[in-house]
Amino acid sequence: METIMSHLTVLVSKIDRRHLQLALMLVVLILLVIGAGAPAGAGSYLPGNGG
Amino acid sequence: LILLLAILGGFLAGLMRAGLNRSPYQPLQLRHTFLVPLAVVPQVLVFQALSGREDIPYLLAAGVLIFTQGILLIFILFNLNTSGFRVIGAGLGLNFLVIVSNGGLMPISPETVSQMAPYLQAESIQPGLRYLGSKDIILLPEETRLWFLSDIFITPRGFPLKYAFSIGDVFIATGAFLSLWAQGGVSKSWAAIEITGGDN
Repeated sequence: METIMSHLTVLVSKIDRRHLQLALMLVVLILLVIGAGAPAGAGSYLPGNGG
Repeated sequence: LILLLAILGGFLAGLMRAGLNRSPYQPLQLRHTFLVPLAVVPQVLVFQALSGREDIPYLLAAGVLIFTQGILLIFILFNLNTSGFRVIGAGLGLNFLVIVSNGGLMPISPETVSQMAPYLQAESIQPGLRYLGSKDIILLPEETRLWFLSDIFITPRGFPLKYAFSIGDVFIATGAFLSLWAQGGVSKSWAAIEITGGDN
């Protein structure tokens, strides 16, 4: 268990601020295109109340 | 999913560009990033997680889409000087325009649906029905305002993913690609050193 923890500590220490910024940037961009885009995939349909 | 390919492609292309330039890949400096999850979480809930439920009223779905896309437009305005964001903003604006013009959801014609999903019965794709798992509503082209901005394109035959998409989606994908590609250019700190060195 201690070995695993020490490995994890080393791994986390190697993740610097730039890597975190890169990860955040990708997450934000992925969410942005999901929210901004409106493609429709082949699938089922749902009767709605409008139209 | 189809728009995520642009993210993946842009990121890989940007990393390769950074490698060729021998400069580190620069993360985007974005402002007010909290606006993005604030907009996307309600969308995912209404159009993905709960989309199988018929009891989500049309007005709620339309209201959520208009409100959350409005938030994303504000986010884009805050970050307009970021590479590619003007293109993403143009795409979002075009989608927003056609969505608002047609009652709050993205129009798609029965013909486009039947081409994309030929296994669906004709009576299943009647105008007025919402399309499960998407932001779309089926409308006849002649009854669609700004029809040319709606989901009129289909991924080409042979492409593994069958999707209908709009010209706005093309702009969004292009902007996302450009944004990530640009970060693989010459690093800002390196460029600053060059400029400083040139002045001396």
